[in-house]
Formats: sequence, structure tokens, C-alpha cells
Amino acid sequence: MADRSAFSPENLTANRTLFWIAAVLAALMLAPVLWILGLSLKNNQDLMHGTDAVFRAPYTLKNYADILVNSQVFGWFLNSLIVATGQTLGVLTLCSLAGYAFARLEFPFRRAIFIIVLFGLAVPEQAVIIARHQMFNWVGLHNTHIALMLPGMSSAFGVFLMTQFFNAIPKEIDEAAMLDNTSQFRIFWKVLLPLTLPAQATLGIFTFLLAWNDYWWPLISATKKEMYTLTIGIASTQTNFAQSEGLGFLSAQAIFASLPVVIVYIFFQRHIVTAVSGGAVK
Amino acid sequence: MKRLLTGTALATLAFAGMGHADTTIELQRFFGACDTEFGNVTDVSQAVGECGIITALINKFEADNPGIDVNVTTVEWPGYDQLNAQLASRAAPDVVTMHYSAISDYQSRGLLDPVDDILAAQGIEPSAFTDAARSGVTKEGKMYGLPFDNWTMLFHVNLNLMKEAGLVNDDGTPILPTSVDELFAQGEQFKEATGKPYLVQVLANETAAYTRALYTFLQQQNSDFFADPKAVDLTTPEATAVVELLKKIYDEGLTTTGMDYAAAVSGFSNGDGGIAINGTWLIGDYVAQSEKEGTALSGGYTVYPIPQLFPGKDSTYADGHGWVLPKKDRSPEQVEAIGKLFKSLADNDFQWARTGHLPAVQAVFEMEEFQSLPHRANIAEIADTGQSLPPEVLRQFAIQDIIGEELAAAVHGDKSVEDALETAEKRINDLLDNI
Amino acid sequence: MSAPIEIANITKRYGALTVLEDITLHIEPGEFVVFLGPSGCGKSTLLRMIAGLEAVDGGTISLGGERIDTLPPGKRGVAMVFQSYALYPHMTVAQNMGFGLENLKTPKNEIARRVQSAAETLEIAHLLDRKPAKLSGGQRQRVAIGRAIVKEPQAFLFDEPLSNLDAALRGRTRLELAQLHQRLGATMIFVTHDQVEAMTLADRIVILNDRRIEQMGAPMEIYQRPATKFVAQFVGSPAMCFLPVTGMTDAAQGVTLDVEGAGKIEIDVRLPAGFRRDGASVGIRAEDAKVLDRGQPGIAVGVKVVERLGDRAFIYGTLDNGTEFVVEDSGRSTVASGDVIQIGFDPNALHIFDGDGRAYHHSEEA
Repeated sequence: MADRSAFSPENLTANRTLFWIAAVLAALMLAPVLWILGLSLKNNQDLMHGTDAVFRAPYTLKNYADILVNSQVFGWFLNSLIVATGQTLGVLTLCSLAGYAFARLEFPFRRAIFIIVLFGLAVPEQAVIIARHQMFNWVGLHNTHIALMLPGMSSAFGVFLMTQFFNAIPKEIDEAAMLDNTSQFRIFWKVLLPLTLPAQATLGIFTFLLAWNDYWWPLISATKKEMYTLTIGIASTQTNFAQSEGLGFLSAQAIFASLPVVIVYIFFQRHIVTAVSGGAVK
Repeated sequence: MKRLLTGTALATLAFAGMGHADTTIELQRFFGACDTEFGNVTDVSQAVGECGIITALINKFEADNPGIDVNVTTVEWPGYDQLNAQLASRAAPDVVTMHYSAISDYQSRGLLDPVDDILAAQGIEPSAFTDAARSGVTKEGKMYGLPFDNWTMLFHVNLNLMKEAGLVNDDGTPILPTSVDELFAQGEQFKEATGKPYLVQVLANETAAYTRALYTFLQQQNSDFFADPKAVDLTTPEATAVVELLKKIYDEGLTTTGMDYAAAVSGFSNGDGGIAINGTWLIGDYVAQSEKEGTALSGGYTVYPIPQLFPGKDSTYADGHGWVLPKKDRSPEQVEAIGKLFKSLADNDFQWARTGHLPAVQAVFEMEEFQSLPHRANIAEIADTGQSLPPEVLRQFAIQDIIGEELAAAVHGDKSVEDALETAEKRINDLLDNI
Repeated sequence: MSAPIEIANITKRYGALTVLEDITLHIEPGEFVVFLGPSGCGKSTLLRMIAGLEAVDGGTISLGGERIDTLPPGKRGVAMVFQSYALYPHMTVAQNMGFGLENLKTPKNEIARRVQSAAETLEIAHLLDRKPAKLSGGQRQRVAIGRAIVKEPQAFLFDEPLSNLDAALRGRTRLELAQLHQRLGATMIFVTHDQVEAMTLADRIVILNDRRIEQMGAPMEIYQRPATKFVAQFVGSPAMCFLPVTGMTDAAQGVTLDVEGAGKIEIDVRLPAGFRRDGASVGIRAEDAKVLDRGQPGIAVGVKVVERLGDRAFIYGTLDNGTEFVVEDSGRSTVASGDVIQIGFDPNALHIFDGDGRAYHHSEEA
């Protein structure tokens, strides 16, 4: 017979309490998503009466069907995809190269330049957006994919992350590779870069999500509706203010817009958890 | 030889095509996108709602004018961030929606072109517009946009509940207060009879509603709070009286509390209170609900201007939507096309008035169709009583946020009334000083 | 496969700090040389200069008659085993071992053959598909050695390769390294601060201290005839005991020394004219002193600690004047801490050091 007073971590009241707290918090966080999902399945007219119509039949897929016939949304979706993917690739390339340089190469003013990069962490977008807007204006880049991607590619956080990551790789690995007659580029490409994959995944996912959800810069750079990203496009379909008409269609678009993010999350869940926990479970 | 002929023919065709090249107008607006439902509707009478009607109006214009192509870009309300960015990069569209209250910000910096000549070329007289609409777009003696409508806050009345409270006359019209004292008396009466709050107000997450109430009741007291357009005067007995009125309504439980805009809109639909203080644009929706069976408003909805509660004058704060022209070089063809578009919008202003907004074109008020729109007769007086801020007042959107924040604090008891008004005055004057 | 290494007048500086100065050293083909010294003596730096991982500030290095200090590391014909092994974590064992050959565009089947053969030699053939993270410390060590072997270098360089292993494994690996050296017959340089590794592995030990070579020689020569007081102190465990010399007179055979705490001792040794007397001392190893039977006249030692190792025991104590002293006794020793014992030694087992730290030994030809 088991001693009921025996210590067992599963039996701790504290653990059960934590579980329930977590469950309630999870439900709270999920509620808005379910709410939007519910709205998206309702007829626009029913919702004008009151959004509690969500709890009653009938439900309809008409809003989703409307997305399919509205070619604009697909264009915006494509723009978001191009921008988010391009920006992610750009960030990964630039930050890897910069991180390697800061961690491994000797060049004049290396420390000073690195500190300047770190200052970039402290500069909010608000502080530079007007100057940036003018710069892109001089070059005539507004309303292009490049204009939407470029600003996000200068990621101080990414450079910092990759530098730290390269720094954490023992120099002896490079030296072993040098003795293995490996060229400098090949050391970077074949030996060190593969070792930074966890950091690349973290940085890549964060960059993609950031780019996908970005609102402000596309709002003022992409002023032609052909160049809208999803966030701007969907916002632009809201009527007047506070949206009293067409709520169901708007919600369907929001669900549609979040699909890639959900997919990214499902596929890279493990990396995201690692990233958020700061590599503590490496 | 034959090939040469074909080539010439093609060149001729191309040339002919160029000769008939469409004139394109870049038009940027809010009101939402609803191409799915109304993208192909050219019969405007078939469209409903702000988005549907403006979409159909432009479709109709394009159908009537084969040589003109209107390229519509929708922006999130109110779209001024985007417009600012476009102006900064000299990529502004040709025609843009703008609130009357925002026009001076752009006009004072020389960013808008006047429209007087364009309207004159189409034979549109300034006197064709209502005083309220014309003054909304007129700055320094020139019109800086086509006035499209006027809108105000209104008393949307649930007659079913008012009847329960004994606040309906024999002729079926509601008994509305004519003074502050009557407001509280009738409010108490309503509350006792129905157990529900008298008013349905937007009090949460909101700045505009507070500000419009303040302006309205200050105007009713003849308070010239913007005597100097660069310095507001809110430390007056009049301003104190208004905020204390709002606070007392709140304190005595005569209003719904904690509702944001969307909640207040549907709350009134669901019979949460007797009178909703909300905008002209909801008339269409509420009428539709009153015509259906089984809703809280079935057969019992009407609407009136905000009544005169103070003995000064009958007045309601009004704003409106106009179509402005950002400063840029345009070809004569484009200018003409814009003129035609403006004429079409003005000619069809009745259709826009179906949204609930008051027409900007005086003649619409005389139209039988307009008068037969539900309840429009009740509110037509707003064309005369509607009043906006002095045209020289800049940054009206930012001022609205400041007043809204401070008044919300006062109404909810987080600040004293005097403190809130003093702070608001100081913040606004700091803002205006730093322009 | 094995080649001589010629190190001539090598100097290394880090800014104003000189780490190595004018080092000259010849290593025979197939010789196993150990660089021994305290941490910071520059032994690893010297090895890394041979490997090409540190720049040479002066002098030359040649391997097999060809000057290599101007070549990049990969072209020098040397292979190195690192203290941390420095395996490529994302590659399998086979890929780790073959990577260098791949870079040299060696044909695939040749790579496979060499990897297989090295893996069999090292008994890691069953691990070829694993990644380093799935290996034990000892297995990683073997992979690191295997990675060196497949390159068939002219010289192997080992940088403290045993220091990350536990004691038992270290002993076994030491033995295997010795066998590997015998089998390959390759020139090997091994850096360590562990004198046991040095003594057991080396054909020749090079003791480095304070920017220069203190002594080089066969292990027993270093142990028995240390060239300096530093070497005498550094090599041997427990460390040699030193007694200050306060006076010195010539005797018929050699000299008579006044040793503080031990009285007058006559030694058969010939000291040169330049011998610096102030600061001179004598040193004696624990095994050269013995505990005398009760009643026999000797030097009194107050026992502090008795360290019993089974076959023998080390008795740590102090002389009357407080000087520390260690003496070896048999495993059956009955001496206990707190005892006062008499010890004695053969005067000719003493090492004499002059004021400059130079050492002189019994009947050494000066």
C-alpha cells in the first residue's frame, strides 16, 4: 500500500493550482481569437444588431467566400508574404555576416561600431520614421516592395544576437578548421553558420512575425492600394470608425491574415519556445 | 507591302487609342471597402450604408463618363497619417476625403488647392450649399473642398421605452427636455418606470463624444471659448456648468456606463436605455431595425437634434465630410474631370443623405424624396443650428483627444471638474503654442 | 610521414609583453617531445606558433627542411588535437574526420578508406555516424585524434589533450597515446602542465619558464639532474625540499657546506669559480632522505602530517628552525603526526644551487 503522505511532485496542490491558473490565462488569451472566428462565421446584417448573435445559428461561410472573390486581399496577402519573407532573408543574411564580423574579424573601430549598433536597440522607430520617410522619398522608393523591406533589415537586435551567438562558439572550432585547410569563407559557411541555426530560427521567426504584423511603416510608405500589405489593406476596409457595418467580413479577413502566422507557429513551435525561454532549455 | 500596311494600321490604332486615353483621378477616401457587395453596382439607389453608397456613386460616375477613370484607394479612418506621408513625398492623390475640422490644418500650411474655380466652371454656386456645409470648407474667403454632408450628434429615441415611462405625447412624439432641470426630472421618471438608464452614451475608450457634448452645450450658452483661435478658454462658468451636467448624469445613474462605441450602438438596438446620444450616420441602421419585427426598436424609433438645454440659443456642434484637393500640378483634363466628379457628387447628394448624414446641398432639403426619408424633417433644422469651431482653429483632432481624456476623468470622478478643465485648457494651449 | 622540426630563434610578443624570447629547438623525426611548464610560460603559444595559429614575431620554424612559419595553418603539414577537442558539432564522426581531406579535394573513396582505417585503429568504427554530442569524453578525444591521423601529417601537435578526462581515463589514454606513437612513428609535440604525462610519454622534455627554455632532456635526466632550481622545484612530487646554505669551505673532496638546520655537510662536487654563494641552497628529494632508527644521531624533524600511499608514505614536518621538510618512508611506517624523528641522507644525493638558481650535482664535471 502506498503511503499517501509520500512526496510526489504530481500531487502537489501548488502544481494543480498552477495548472488551473494557466488554463484560465490560456482561455483568456484565446477568447479574442475565438470571438473573431465566431464573428467571421456570421452574416454582416445579423451582427449589426448586436455581436451576441455570435452565439446563435445560423452560421455562414459567405464571408470567406467573399474573400476569395475579392482579388485585393490576395494581392495584399502576396505583398505581405513577399515583404515578410524578403525582410527575413535580408535580416538573416546581414545579421549573420555582421555577427561573424563583430565576433571574429579584426577591423578598425570594431568596438566603437558595435556600440553604435547597440545604440540602435535604444532608438525607437518613432524617432527616425520621418527622416526615413524622406530618405526613401529622395530615392523615390515609396510604394515598392524594397521600401517595405529595407528598414526592417537593419536589425540591431539581430546583429547583437548573432554576435553573441558567434562569440559563444569556441575559437578552437575555427582553429581546427584552419588546420583542416579551410578557407575563411568556408569556415563561416560550412562550419560556423550551421552552428548558429538555433539563433537563425529564433531571429527568422521573430523577424517574419514582426514584418507580417508591421503597420506603421507600410501605412505611410505604401500609399497605393496595390502596394498595401495585409495589415494596411484590412484596416482600410473598415468603415467610418469603430466598424458598425461589415463586421463579419472584416473578421474573416483578420482570420485569413493570421493564417501564415499560425502556420509559422505550428511548424516552428519548438524554436519559438526555445527563443522565448532564452535558450534555457538548450 | 502587306506587312507594312498592317504595321501602319496598328500604329494608327495605337495612336487612336492614345487620343482617347482615359483621364485618371486618384481618389483616396475612408468609409471602408465593400467591392465584394457593391463593386459592380451603378444604380445608387440599390446601395446602402456609407461604404455601399459612396462605392456606387463613384461606379455611377465612371459609367456616366467613359473617358474618366477614378482610381480609388481606401484608407483606414481618418487616413491623415497616410495623407501626411503622401504630402511629404509629394505623392498625394488628386481627391481626398477630409473632415471640415481638419481642413484648416492643411489649408493653413498651403497644402490644399481652392475649388472655387472648379465649381464655378461646372456652374455650381457657393450658395447652393447650406451655411453649415459651406462654412465648414471655407477658409480665408475661399472654398477648400466640396462639402459633402454635415453630421452631428443626435438624440436617437426608443419610443417603446419612452411610452412605458410616460414620456410620449398624444401625437406619438417623445417628450424631450427643454432645460437641464427637465432633463433630470424626465430622466428620473424614465428610470423609475423602466428600471433602465435614460441615456445610452459612449463613455469608455472614447474622446469624441465628450468633446462634441462640451462644444454643443458651450455653444448653447453663447460661450465664445475660441474667441482667440490660438487659445482656448475653458476656465469659465459655462464650461464648468457643462461638465457638471455630464458628471451629474453619470452620478445619478441616468446613463449607461462603461460602454465603448460598438457596445453603445448595439446597446441601444437591444433596448438598454431610452435615448442614445450618437451620430447622424446611425439613422439608417436604426430605422431598418425599427421596421423589423421582434427588435427592441420595432415600430418605436425616432430621432431629434440634441435639445436646447441652456437658455442661450439652439445650437449643436457639427462637423462634416468634404472632398479636398491636395496641392499639386494637374492637367486641364484632370481639373475638368475633377469638376465633373464634384458635380456628380453634388447632384447626387440626396443619395449620400440616405446614410443619415445631413445633405450639404441646400436643394436636397426641398426634395420630396428627402423629406419622405424617415425622421429627416425632425433634424432638418440642424442645417441652421449646426455650428463648427471657428475655421482658424488648428489641430482639432488633437484637441478633441485632450478634451475627451480630461472630461472622461472628471465624469468618472478621477479629477475635480475644475482641475480637468484647467488641465485641458493648459494642454490645448501648449499644443497650439507649439505649432 | 615523420619529419624533423627546426625551431630557430623564435620570439613572440603581445604588445610590450614578451612571451617567448629567442627559442631554439631541434626535434628529431619521430621524436615525442613534451613541452612542460607552469601556466603562462608560453608552451601553448609555442605549439600554436608551430601550428600557425599565432604569428611569429622573430625567428623561423621549419618542418622536414621546409620553412613553414610563412604558410597558413592548413598548408603546414601538421595536425593538432585541441584541449577541448574542437569537433564540429553539426557533423558526424566520419564527417569530422574527413572534413580536412574534403577541403584538399581528396577523392571520396580515399577519404572513406582513411577514415575507416583510422577509426579501426582507434576503435571508434562503430561511432562513425554519430554526432559529437552523443559521444563520451573519451570517445570525443579519440575522434579528435582520428581527425589528426587521417590527414597523415608530418607532425602531430597535442595541446593538453588529456586535461578534460577523468583520472582513470587519462591514465589509459596516456598509454594508448604512447602506443600510437610507436605504431605511427610520427613526430609528436605534446603540451602539458602535468609532469606525470611528461615523464611517461616523452622521449624528451622541454621545460619552459619565463620566456625561455629552462632545460631540455630525457625525462630521467630532468628528474635526476635538474639544470636549475626552477626545474628541481617544478619536477617531482612531492616537491624537492630546499635548505639555505650559510657558509661554504673547500674540502679535500669537494666542499663543506654550512646548511641551516642541518649543520656542516661535506659533498663531493666541484664548483666553478663563478659560483655565487649568497643565496645558495641545497635541495633533497623525499626519497633520498630516510627515517633513522630511534637513538641514531640525525636531523630532528617534528612530524606534522603522514601521507600514506600504501607502498610508501610521505612524512611532512619541520626542522628545528621551521624549514619544511619531506621524507619518504616505507608503507609500514609507524611514524605518527606529533612525533619527533631523526632523519639522515647521503650527502651526495644533495643538489646544490647557487644564488642564480644554477644547479650542481654530485661529481658533476664543471
